[in-house]
Amino acid sequence: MSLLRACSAIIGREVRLGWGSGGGALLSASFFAGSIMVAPFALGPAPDTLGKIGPGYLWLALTLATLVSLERLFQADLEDGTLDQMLLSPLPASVQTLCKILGQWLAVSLPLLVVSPIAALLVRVKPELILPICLQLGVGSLGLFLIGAIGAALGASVRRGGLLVALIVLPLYAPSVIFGASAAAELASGGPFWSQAFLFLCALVLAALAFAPLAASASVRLHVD
Amino acid sequence: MISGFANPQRFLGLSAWLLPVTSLLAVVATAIGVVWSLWYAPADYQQGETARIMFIHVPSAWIAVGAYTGMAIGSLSYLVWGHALGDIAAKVMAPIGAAFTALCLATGSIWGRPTWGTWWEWDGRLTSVLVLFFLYLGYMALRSALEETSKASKAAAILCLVGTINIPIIRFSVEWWNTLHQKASIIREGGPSLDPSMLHPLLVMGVAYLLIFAALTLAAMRAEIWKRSADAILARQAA
Repeated sequence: MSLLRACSAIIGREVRLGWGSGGGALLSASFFAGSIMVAPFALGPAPDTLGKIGPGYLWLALTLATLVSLERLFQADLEDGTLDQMLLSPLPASVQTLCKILGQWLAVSLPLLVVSPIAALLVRVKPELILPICLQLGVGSLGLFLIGAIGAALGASVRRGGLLVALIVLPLYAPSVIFGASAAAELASGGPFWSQAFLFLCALVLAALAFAPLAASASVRLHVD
Repeated sequence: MISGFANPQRFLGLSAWLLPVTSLLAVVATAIGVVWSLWYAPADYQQGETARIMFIHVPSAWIAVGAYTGMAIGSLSYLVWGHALGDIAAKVMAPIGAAFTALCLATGSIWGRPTWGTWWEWDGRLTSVLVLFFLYLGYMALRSALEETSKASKAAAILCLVGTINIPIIRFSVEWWNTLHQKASIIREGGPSLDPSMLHPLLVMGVAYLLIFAALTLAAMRAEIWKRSADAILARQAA
């Protein structure tokens, strides 16, 4: 029972901090929307071009928006000593890290997912495909967050480490982006929701759920001394 | 047995004669391999003389993957048993491995132009080597961003192992996504499909590349050990 209470306390704290003043939970959703706005400028507004690349572009925008929010994951708590205090508790570090990631994911990704149907409309995704594609984006964003957390933890004590974290994490993102965008493309060509690609993506997210907190907590510990 | 070799002083003694021997063997093997593969091996009946770039391209791909494997072993031995030598090996192998990966990408691209008609194709195996190159870049960037040596070593070791777990997944996903590259023709069921007249010079080139890699790694490891002891002396004087 106390384990659940501790976990929900950490998750609740992350959500409140993200939504509180200066928390910046909306930044990543705004960035996501902004990068959608740039797409037609770069690729041309022709409906058939946008309709073809729209689902894939949503995944690109999601990846970039996740990368942008990674730097905040551990840095503030490391700087003001919160992490040192948290690691003193009997709760295993990997569980704490998992809760931190989940909390931040809730704070950052929910607004992004609320915006994503509108974004999908803007890049001319067919209306009947918007809901399934956005659901898949939601599943994928959890995986991207978990994998990205490893990079964020490794670079937590590096000043202005955002670019470093992005460079570390990008190659690790390759499988998730491939499966996610392929699942979206399959939906767009009339395939099922539970396509092979989406099932692979789900498997990746589950594996990341199990392993990423271990690697991330081991990395966070390096910076706490 | 391994812990015996993990002593830096013993390593310095051992590598003092191992380094010149490997360097000499590397020169000999490269000379034999280059002459054999570029002059005496037959030209391919379909691709003609252009297929000779295989002798440069394929061994560099072996080393590109092998160096990362070496880094993973070094990182593991550092994280689990605290062998400083494993960390030093992983550190110095990264730029060398990255260089071989870049060579593999460049020669692959040059080979792709006449045979596939394009400089770059987003084919499965090409793409996974490109991802590997970025893994090397991230590793080196993380290492140089963290100033404290022990922190940098541990963080880099964790990243290397995370990358090692991911490499099979990346390979699988990328090949699932798109495949144009010819299938593996040497290590496969039923023996190599490559004719012995080409296979033998290729294997010699592979040995030559391995020796070059070993010599560069030994030299860089020696330099890194000396650098660390010099740093330690300076730190002691400053204190």
